[in-house]
Amino acid sequence: MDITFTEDQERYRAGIRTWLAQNLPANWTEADHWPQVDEDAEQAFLIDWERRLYAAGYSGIAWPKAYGGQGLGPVEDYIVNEEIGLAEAPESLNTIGRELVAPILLSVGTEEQKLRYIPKILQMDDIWCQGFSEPNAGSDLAAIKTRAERRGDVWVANGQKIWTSYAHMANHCILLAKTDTGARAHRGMTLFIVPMDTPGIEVRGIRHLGGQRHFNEVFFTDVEIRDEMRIGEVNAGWQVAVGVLGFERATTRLYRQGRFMQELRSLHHEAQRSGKLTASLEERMGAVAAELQLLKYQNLKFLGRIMSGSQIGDESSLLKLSWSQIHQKIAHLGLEVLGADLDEDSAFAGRFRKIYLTARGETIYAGSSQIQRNIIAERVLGLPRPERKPA
Amino acid sequence: MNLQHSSEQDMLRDSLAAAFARSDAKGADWGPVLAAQGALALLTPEDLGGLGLGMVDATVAAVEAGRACLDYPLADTMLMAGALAVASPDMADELAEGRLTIVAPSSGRFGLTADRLVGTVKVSHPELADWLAAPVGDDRVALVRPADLEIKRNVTVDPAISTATIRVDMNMNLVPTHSVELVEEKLALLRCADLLGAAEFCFETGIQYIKDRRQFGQPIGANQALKHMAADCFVELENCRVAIDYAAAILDQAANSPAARVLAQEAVSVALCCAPLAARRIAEEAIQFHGGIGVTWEYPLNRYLRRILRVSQSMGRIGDHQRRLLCQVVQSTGWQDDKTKQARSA
Repeated sequence: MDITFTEDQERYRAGIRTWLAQNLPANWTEADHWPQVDEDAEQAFLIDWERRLYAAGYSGIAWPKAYGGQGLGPVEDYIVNEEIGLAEAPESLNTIGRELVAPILLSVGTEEQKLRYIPKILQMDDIWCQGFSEPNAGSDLAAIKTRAERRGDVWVANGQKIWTSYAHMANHCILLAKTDTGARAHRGMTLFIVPMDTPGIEVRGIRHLGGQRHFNEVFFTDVEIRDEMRIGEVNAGWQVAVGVLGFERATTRLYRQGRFMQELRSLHHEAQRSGKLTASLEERMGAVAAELQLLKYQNLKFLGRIMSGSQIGDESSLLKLSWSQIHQKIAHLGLEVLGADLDEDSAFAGRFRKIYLTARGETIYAGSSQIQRNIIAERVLGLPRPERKPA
Repeated sequence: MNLQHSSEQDMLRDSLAAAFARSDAKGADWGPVLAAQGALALLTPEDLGGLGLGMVDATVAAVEAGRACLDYPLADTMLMAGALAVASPDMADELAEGRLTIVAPSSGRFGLTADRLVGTVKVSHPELADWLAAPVGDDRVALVRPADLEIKRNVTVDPAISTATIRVDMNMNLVPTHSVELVEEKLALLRCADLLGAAEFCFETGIQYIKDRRQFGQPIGANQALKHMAADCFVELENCRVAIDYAAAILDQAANSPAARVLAQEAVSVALCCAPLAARRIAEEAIQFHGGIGVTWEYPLNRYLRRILRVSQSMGRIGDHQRRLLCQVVQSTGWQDDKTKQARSA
């Protein structure tokens, strides 16, 4: 057992910490959390921020140099993400590109696909959205109806996607479509790269409960996709996506722990300042602090396993289950500290109004808490699937 | 970065589990059995005949004690043996052979003035104790013979193990003291490990039961209501494991620097916030999984739930740990108060 970082790794941490301190705009946090922001201006700011992060060498940390990455390891990746979280620096607009598309391409993409698409994710020339969920296929993703039919060298896609984050700003979509309608659940689906300017794609915005544009409906009508845009084998899309998702769940949300800890610190500070810090509130904040530390230890444990070459699978569901629930507890503490000041025109009130509302989605997207519990129960603990047909 | 047990630690766990399963020893008879496994000398330096291992190894042993519902103060004897062996080589031999049993307070603390040792503590296993080793001041342990003291038996919640209240008011010259770095934190962590072992037993017993027990034509574990309870227990159990491993690993480094010492205290606070509540919940849910048989005296879950209550009692109020931890994490270097903030505004 070894819970230390090497001197080189500590030096690397000092480097990103200094860089963030010098480059993050001082008023970023307030600007981000102010309720009425100009979404176009925010988007431009975020793209510029991510380009600067990449130019400084703090993006694509563990990806190969051949595709524009830094060629470093999972520890450096962890350190950068943790520091970005602790600095409360902006979250990426391109999480689908970073956390889903690039890892899938690195795992099963062709050499051409890797060379063409991964550098553009890092340079923020391509922003990606994820065409997986459909109106009748949310948690039950195997029930998707969107079909892609092969006609010679092209596939023709028809169907509707929904809850598609970033589709209004994305120029590429990773599309999951049925390619063998006779196949059993989870088989007969294929992944495709689809440029969003392909004729036949229509995007309609959906406003999030938190007020932001954020997600969309995306309609595909006779959308032609060249076969070279197919990712992995035909009919193996589900297996590819699930294999990558387990690993990604364990590695890509590391920054949340640090960000949440800063939120808790700022809540504590505000409660103290406003004279609302009771012993009972301190206990409940302390309970959340313990959960945040446990989340950090779990992250480090997964990191250690990745470094020792272990496969990461379904057990990473515990990370998604934990961070999303902890964040909602922080949001509840925020409401409690605000109390009658919920409608104050202050940076603090604006920030925690937004955190509370946004966090409601976090136990739903990327596999709801109930789905994560099913995964743990059935695939980690080996509990049986129901034998009876529901009446 | 590695939070996995080594293969030697896995072997230690397996050999202790086998010893617990094989032997039908009771009470003080466990001393020689545990000594034969090397378990009592885990923390004793090698040049004094011990194994010279650290807290990670010690917690592995304490987890197995909890899992086996052991009726012997392994954690107390093991932790104090290391310090006492240094002070008294005669005692070292007896300790290594399992002929001496030591208990430490499960709650309460002695006060130390220039000439007197005064105070009241609670202990488990009073009848087994050759010595009571009680932390006094920072990193010091006072050694007294329970036989010389005023002992009041308590009404124990755990029928397998008795508890007592011990009052001390004696001349300090009669009391030898020894140094053990972070002794209270180490004791607390070993008790968390005992809870983890008990929780592991309850969890595994409960999961097996809902896989086997059939109602309405299928295993009851196929029902989502039970699956979600099981998944939540799994998360709590994994949290308990990692909290204990992390704290043990950092305690082994704590002597190296004052900064590591602060981090070790914080990590032990996390374990104290987590283990008692997690173990109790896991035992309660395991009982719920079992239905009627779960609430019988004979079924083993009864003993484990009572052990968890007894051991948790020794850990103090959870709310106090939560407030202390909040204080620790709010004060620890965050972005807000960091030097880097100066760089940011510069």
